[in-house]
Amino acid sequence: MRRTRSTRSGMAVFAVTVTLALAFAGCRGGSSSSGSGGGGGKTKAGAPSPTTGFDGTTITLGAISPQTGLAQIIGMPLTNGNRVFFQGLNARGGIAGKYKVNLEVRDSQYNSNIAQQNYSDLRDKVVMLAQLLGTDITNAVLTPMRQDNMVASPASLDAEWVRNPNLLPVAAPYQIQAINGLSYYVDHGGAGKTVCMIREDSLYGAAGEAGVRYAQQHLNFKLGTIAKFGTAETDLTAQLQQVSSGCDAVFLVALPTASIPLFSKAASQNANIRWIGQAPTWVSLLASGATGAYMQQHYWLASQGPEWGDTSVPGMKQMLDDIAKYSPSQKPDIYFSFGYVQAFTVSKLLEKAVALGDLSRPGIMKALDQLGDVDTMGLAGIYHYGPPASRVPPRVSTIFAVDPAAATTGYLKSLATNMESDAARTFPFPK
Amino acid sequence: MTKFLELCVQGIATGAQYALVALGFVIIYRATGVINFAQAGFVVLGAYLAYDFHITLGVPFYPALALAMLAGALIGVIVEATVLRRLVGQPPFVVIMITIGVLTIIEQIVPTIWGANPLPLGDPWGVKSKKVGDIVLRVSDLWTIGIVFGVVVLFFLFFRYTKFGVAMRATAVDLEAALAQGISVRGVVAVSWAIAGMVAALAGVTLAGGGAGVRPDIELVAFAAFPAIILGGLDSPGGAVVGGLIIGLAQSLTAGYQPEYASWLGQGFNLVMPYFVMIIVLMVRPYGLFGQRQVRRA
Repeated sequence: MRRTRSTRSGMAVFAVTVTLALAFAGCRGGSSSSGSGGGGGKTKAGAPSPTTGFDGTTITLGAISPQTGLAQIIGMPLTNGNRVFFQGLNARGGIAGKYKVNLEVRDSQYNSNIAQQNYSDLRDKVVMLAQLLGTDITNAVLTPMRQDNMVASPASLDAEWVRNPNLLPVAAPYQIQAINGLSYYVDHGGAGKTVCMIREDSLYGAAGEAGVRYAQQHLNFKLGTIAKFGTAETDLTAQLQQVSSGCDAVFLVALPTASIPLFSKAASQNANIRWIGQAPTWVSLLASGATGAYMQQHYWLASQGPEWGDTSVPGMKQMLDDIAKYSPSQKPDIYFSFGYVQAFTVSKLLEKAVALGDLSRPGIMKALDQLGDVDTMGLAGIYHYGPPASRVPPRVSTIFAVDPAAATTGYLKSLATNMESDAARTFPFPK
Repeated sequence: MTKFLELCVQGIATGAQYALVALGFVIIYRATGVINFAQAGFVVLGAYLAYDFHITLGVPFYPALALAMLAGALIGVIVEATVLRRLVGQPPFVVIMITIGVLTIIEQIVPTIWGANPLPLGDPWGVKSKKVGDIVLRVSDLWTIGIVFGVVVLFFLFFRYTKFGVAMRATAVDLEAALAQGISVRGVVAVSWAIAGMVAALAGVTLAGGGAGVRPDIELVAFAAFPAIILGGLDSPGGAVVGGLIIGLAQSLTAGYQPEYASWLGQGFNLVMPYFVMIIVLMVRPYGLFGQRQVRRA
């Protein structure tokens, strides 16, 4: 046998292979589907009858979440938070003490096209989506969700979600995080200073910018450079250069894949900047790794909930008890906490639907309209659900500082727990 | 000028990382004619193995790096011996699909064993920097550049002066002639996979060092090295290095100046630039800068 070296044919094979690899990735899932999930599910009194995603004993929920790729750092612990809550709930009897919950997870790879295929795969198997991670991804599946009467709990915090009839958002929106974070900065030495921004060029980034701009109108600081970066970019050297002079503080809206290299470079340069990060900028490596000392001096995180391990908060105590039983290797993680709170909120919606005797999709939408207050046991504030126009999200945020020695609290120490600034109180949510 | 020099050093460091990844691809392509997509997975595994040797087992950093490279070599040999050797004679496309399968398996194994959270590599470079005049140079960047320089010298010496290196060159030029000369092609292929595994571990450590952390998505950076491979020439180790450096520089300078001078090109044009450079070069030299021109025999 003679093998002829052919670089050209190698390149052709390479190109075909890449194309096929992408095609395979794009072809995952994709079952045929139909209907709006309106069949069955309702009894006039008593137990709900079987319907899509409910066989009479088990409620099946979906999760569209990045389990690989850029955002798996967030998606995996968040999904584990969902799982641990539902495992604990099932052990306690399930929804309304009688219906067990099963969670079907699909990997979106943080890609809107793949998420749409995930949705097609799940739509005929689940009563609702307990997790839908990503602002752009949520937008990508909203149209079919509307057609299907599907309810989903987004694992992103855009204020646009508040009034959406198909969404069950949790915690204070990103805009509120930005306003509370900057309010804390102004009250603690930042009055009259210049605040710049580095933000992802996406809806997630736009949500953060909306909060920063609102804060600038109501707080005493000057708004400087706003440097954007593409969603696939992880090297923010140019953006760091843009804010390296003339900025006292920088509000950052990014994922850890971008924030890790950014802070690594900022620490190398010992950039004298007060960083305030939106919740998804954080990952524990920033404290436990080489950047720890810099982060301790220069970074605050605007997020929600109590410090990890604060068992005076009832929700934290229950969460830690469940972790000990079902996921003892889980380390302190703000994304896990979010997933846990999210699943808790979903369980309250399902309980309401069971109480109304209807687990069908329209039944769950009706339950959302009648849900009322959901108190997250101190983990993420009280959210008032109801008809879209009447929904009131919490306006509280927790400002964390970094403590590289505090591994037991996930390296985060609360500076102000569940604070609500005057500016956040007046922020108008989209109609 | 300071900005330009800083961007150049950083671009060269990024390019050096691309070059290390690209070298692994090229070594296997030269020996087997196959583009090994699992190489990106080897890069990730190498970084995690270095973490385990250094942080989990407490081995000092540089010996841990050497152990990770040896383990990477072993993994490469095992994958070749258990999976790919059985596919000799199959069309290249089938073999490539198998390497994609191996990559997918590694992608699933890594978060299962080590979790998705980034882990600190504990490298001595950290976020330290040196100031030369007004220029701030990251120690990790300097080490990365130095490592690639060292690897290139070792490659040159290996291919030029060792019996096995000469055997590998002969096999790459003409498989049948190499067999006729009594060269163990099976041995050459096994050594190629071992070298690719070693280089991948080294690349993984440079990608995870300097505060970046050991994390599954390192493989995405590894895939960014593809334009460097094509640009340099699929079968040229020297081309992989030059291609990596050109791509790294182009990316860094574009990121530094395009938002200021050509903002109309939009966000993230630095990610497009490598492909732009690749297309321009391939239009002039279709086989890459150092790739072998195809020879057809009647």
